Amino acid sequence: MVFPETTKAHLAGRSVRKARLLEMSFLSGTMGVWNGFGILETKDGKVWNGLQGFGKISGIASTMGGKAPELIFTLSGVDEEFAAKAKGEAVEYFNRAAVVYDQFFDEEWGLLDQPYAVSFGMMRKLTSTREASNDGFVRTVSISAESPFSAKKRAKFAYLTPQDQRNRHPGDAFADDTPGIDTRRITFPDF
Amino acid sequence: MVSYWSSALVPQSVMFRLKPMNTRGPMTFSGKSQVVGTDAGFWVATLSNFIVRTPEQIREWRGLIADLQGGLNDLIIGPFDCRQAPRVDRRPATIGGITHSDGSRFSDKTGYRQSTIKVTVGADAGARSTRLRLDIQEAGKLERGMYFTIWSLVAGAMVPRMYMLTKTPEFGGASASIQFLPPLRVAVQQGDEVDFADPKLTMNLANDDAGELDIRLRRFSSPSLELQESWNGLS
Repeated sequence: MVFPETTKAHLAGRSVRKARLLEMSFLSGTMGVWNGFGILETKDGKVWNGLQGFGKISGIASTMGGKAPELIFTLSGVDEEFAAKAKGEAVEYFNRAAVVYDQFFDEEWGLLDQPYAVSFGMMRKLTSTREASNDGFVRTVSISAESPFSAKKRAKFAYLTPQDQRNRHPGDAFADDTPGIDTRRITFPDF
Repeated sequence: MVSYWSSALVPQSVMFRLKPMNTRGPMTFSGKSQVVGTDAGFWVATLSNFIVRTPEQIREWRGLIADLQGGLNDLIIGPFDCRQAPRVDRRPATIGGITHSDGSRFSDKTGYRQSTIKVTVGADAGARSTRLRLDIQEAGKLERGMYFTIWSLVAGAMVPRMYMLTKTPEFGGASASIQFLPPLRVAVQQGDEVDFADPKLTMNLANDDAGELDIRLRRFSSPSLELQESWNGLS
């Protein structure tokens, strides 16, 4: 990863101060949240609402080996605006981008550089649950987002595999190198 | 909805602290684990063994706790910390019972209250700043570990936010440069009053069961209270 110099210096230090930010592009407007306390205004002018640790992001992984990891954002103790989105129509969120950022802080919790985009996915499924517990009800909203590498929208015969390519155009070797392409070293031009 | 803590209810032990918001990695063989700070933390408090002896106190406790509705409504409460305030010549931090100009008091026999410590913000500072310049008109020596409060207008209501000096201040004439935590919740402007004498902050009950009142022999009780800093999405 390429970090700005100030962040590099911070990362080389003994302790790291870093918050994770999540930006969801809903149809009715972009909504930014972060896991800290109160409102955070980052240097790129965006405003993030604090979740005070109620939010959870899981599934951030590198897309190695052709996998398309699913991102899951979970929020417990849901505010009104969010609940309205969860109950609203699917067009509000379906196939719209959710971007995860990292924001680094200096020793005095000042902002270091701009937020750094880590991962992104297209929002697919928004579920809300309500569980009864001893202390009352716990409401949870989860959004799952898929990376653009997942090919679930395409019909099965339309993968770029050697077999598919030969089905479409007999004798075409164009896709012969695609299996394992992300872990294979290909020298080009190869004399 | 905001409620104020009654001065009739005083705890015997007070625990106020900044709860860090760190995330930790799994523990290694040596027992160490990596720590990543996600934010500077927020106030939590455990106030135990309140002295509840009189019918007035029992009624006040019951009414107030029910009014807070288990973390739904805000409570403005102080850390009961006047002994550590920067008092001037060991005078009390706040003086009560001040009469009107003709020597009379309010109908319930109380007077005005006034702080003996006067400090204001010396320069504007944005939200999430952890440094501030203060103008000191009248105050004892500022030391680290002291609490202070700055009230600000948020969505039409005055909201107190409490901070604590975390480094020894640097003094220059009648001003002091301070470092504190948590970061400023709301931006402050030059001239805003900084209350060292009677700090207050906005809190919620930590859970729905906090503040249960168990009355012994129909008379006595020593209830406890668990609180955490309020955040309602506005400040």
